[in-house]
Amino acid sequence: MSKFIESEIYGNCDVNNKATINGKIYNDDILYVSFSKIDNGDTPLMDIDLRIHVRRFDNTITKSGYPMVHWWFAISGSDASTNQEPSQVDPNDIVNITYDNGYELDPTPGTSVIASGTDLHTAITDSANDIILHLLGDLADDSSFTGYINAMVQGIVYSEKFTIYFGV
Amino acid sequence: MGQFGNLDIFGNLDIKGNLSVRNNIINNDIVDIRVVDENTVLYQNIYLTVYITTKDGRLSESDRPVSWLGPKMKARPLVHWWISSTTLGAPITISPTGRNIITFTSTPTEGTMLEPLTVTNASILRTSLTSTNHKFKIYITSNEAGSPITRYFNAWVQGIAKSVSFQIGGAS
Repeated sequence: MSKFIESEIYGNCDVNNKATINGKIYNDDILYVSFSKIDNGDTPLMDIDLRIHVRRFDNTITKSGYPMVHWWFAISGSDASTNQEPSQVDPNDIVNITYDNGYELDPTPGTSVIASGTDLHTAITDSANDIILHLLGDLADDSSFTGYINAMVQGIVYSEKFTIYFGV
Repeated sequence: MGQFGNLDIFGNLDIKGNLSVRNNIINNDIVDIRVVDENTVLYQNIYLTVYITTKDGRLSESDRPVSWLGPKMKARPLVHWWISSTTLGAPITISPTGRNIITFTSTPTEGTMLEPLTVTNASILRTSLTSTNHKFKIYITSNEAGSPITRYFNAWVQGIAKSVSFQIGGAS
């Protein structure tokens, strides 16, 4: 039996019986979620891309296929103790949401207009392992929205607070 | 790289290539499901607590680890679950009478119900987010007291489903 305090293996490691790891194992195909927000620069601002990125530990995409995620909007994020349930987005703030990249699988399959964040959504990423949500605002009243985008991959939920302002 | 009988690593193991294990790999950060019936007496209404922890009972440490992902944050497991009459069986169909009824509270005592937000008694797959302690707790009700019946709590986390039996329907 061999024991290591720390080991970096750049080739293959074959264990014919049992491998016990009491620290962390950095498996490059364990996935994480991050988020970004990009507006199209128009004035007044009327739409924003909210991007869900699924990446491996080294910031590359998985070679195992297309990640599938659950995502939802909520008043608070996964670091809070309450109010993580999917919450209604005021249609006067975000008029509608469509997929620029990736596809909805449930509850409204496809890339067309979906309900404004009320549901727990199930979606599959594009070939770049991204989901890009196109949020269309309401210019009539210079609307805004503050909340959390939550996304789960491989059983673990990640979340991030975001605020968007539509209009001038 | 060499071949071993057992490989015990107590620090970190970074592998840039492949790791092939022909028997078991015990990764203490892969989470497991543990369901605990904390009721000391079998009642018509019981609490079930579902723990999503690592094999050695720790919370998952899957917080985002590196700077490109943004600030480090607390990650929490999400679970799909359902109640069945047999191990990993179909979601139970609720009937209007008899002890073969199980209802759920709409809001877990601990954790958050994500779907469906309005809980009905319909046969359905449910989705919950765990609390910051990586567990959630549900309140289950049998319609009447009597001889206990066995039901199964099934949960799916990280792609693997697990089934645990429990009893309900004792003294009211």
